[in-house]
Amino acid sequence: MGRLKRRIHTFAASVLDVPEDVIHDLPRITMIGNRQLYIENHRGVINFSPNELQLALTSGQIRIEGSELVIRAILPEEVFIEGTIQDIHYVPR
Amino acid sequence: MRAPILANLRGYVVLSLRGGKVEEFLNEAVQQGLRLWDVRLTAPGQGKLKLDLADFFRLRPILKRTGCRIHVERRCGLPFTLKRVMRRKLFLLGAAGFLVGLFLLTSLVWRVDVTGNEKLSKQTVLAAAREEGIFKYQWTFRLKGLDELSRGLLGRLPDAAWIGVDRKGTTIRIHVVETTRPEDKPLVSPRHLVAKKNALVTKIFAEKGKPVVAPNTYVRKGQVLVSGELGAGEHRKWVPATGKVFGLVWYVSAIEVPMEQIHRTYTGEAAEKSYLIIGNRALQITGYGKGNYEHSVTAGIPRMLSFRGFTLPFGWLKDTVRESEEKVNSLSAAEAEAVGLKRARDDLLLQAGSGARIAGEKVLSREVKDGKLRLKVHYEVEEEITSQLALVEAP
Repeated sequence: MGRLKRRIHTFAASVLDVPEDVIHDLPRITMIGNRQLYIENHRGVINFSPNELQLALTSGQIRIEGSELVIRAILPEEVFIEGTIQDIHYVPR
Repeated sequence: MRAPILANLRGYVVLSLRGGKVEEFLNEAVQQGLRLWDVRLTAPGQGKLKLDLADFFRLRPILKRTGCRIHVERRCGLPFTLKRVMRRKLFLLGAAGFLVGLFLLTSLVWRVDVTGNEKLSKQTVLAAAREEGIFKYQWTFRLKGLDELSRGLLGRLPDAAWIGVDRKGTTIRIHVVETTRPEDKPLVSPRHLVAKKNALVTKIFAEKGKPVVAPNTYVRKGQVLVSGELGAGEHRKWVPATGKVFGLVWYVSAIEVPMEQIHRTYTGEAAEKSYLIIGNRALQITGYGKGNYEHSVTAGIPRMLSFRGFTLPFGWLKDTVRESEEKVNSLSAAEAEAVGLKRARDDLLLQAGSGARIAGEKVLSREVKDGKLRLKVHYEVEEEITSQLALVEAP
């Protein structure tokens, strides 16, 4: 994205009061306690083990640590995780 | 979102995954639009997942590229169940047979009801219905239309004004509305009308027959008033004589009226007493010392315990004792006479029957003796004096 384009988008988002994820392709992360996690706008699985799940984002990565992690459902842009979640690391690029 | 909608209907497989790059496999599968869910890793490089059956054969190229190996652990859902069922032909046949049987049994007529008939017997209606094709164990699809059926039944049953045929499932209801016919007149045989008392004829209303007495003639008991014989000789005809003949009848009534009349009235004082009944004895429970009146009337109904139609020998009696007093009412001779005459008139009119009236009243004698008024009164009552005499032998 060009710089100008991004600036227009940021401006539009602030003026129109639209959620940022719609404009900037940011992930929307919904967490229910420490048991369920729902991530929209991911860009694929990088690493998956019972204790760790690393997901690619449009810019950066997200790393979820926990135990007995299970991918309940996975779609091209959404992933629904269950298990005991202990840590979420957001690694921006 | 646990499993895709209708996963069970479409069928899915449980796969175990071994070796290779699990993450890459997941990414590719998802990119290709494969429906997979419940992905869990049991150990590094080993996992389990569920996959939609339709996507199973699209899995192979992805596996080849990522170097994963799969093993089908379980097959779930309707397509697999169906396949298993198809192997058991007899079972399938039974299921189909059940459905066919159900259909056939529900398309039979199991009951024919007839309602609304009073004079027409149920058998008559059912017989007519049978001819129209409505009977037990008839196929419902062989029945004619309900309109046609009711029209046909109406043609077969002339005594019905309207017939409705109504089908509810396996029951046919025939509703009959009957025609109302005028009642037949009672049959009467030829007869005379004769006098039942000695009387002076006042009015004659002869509906049928020939009046043989004129008004203001004196008739004796048994004399013919209206003759049932019409014409003479060759043209003679016998009819049941009908009509009304009124006549004056004389009565002498002897009346006694006591000059002192005793009336018993309640004073309003009352007391209640309760008794426990055991067998045919009663034990007083409440009300001791009450209700000691000089004159009293006691009334009460015993209530016996009963069990399933058997009356037990135990019960409860509630008596009400009401105080009464006697009032002596002395009448003058004139008052006593008025009372006596009224009573005599009422008695006579009651005896004489409907349509009677008192035409004359004459006191023959009055006498006061032993505190009583004795009257002898002559009455003239105009009343119907006809009675029927059947002509057993018509000559």
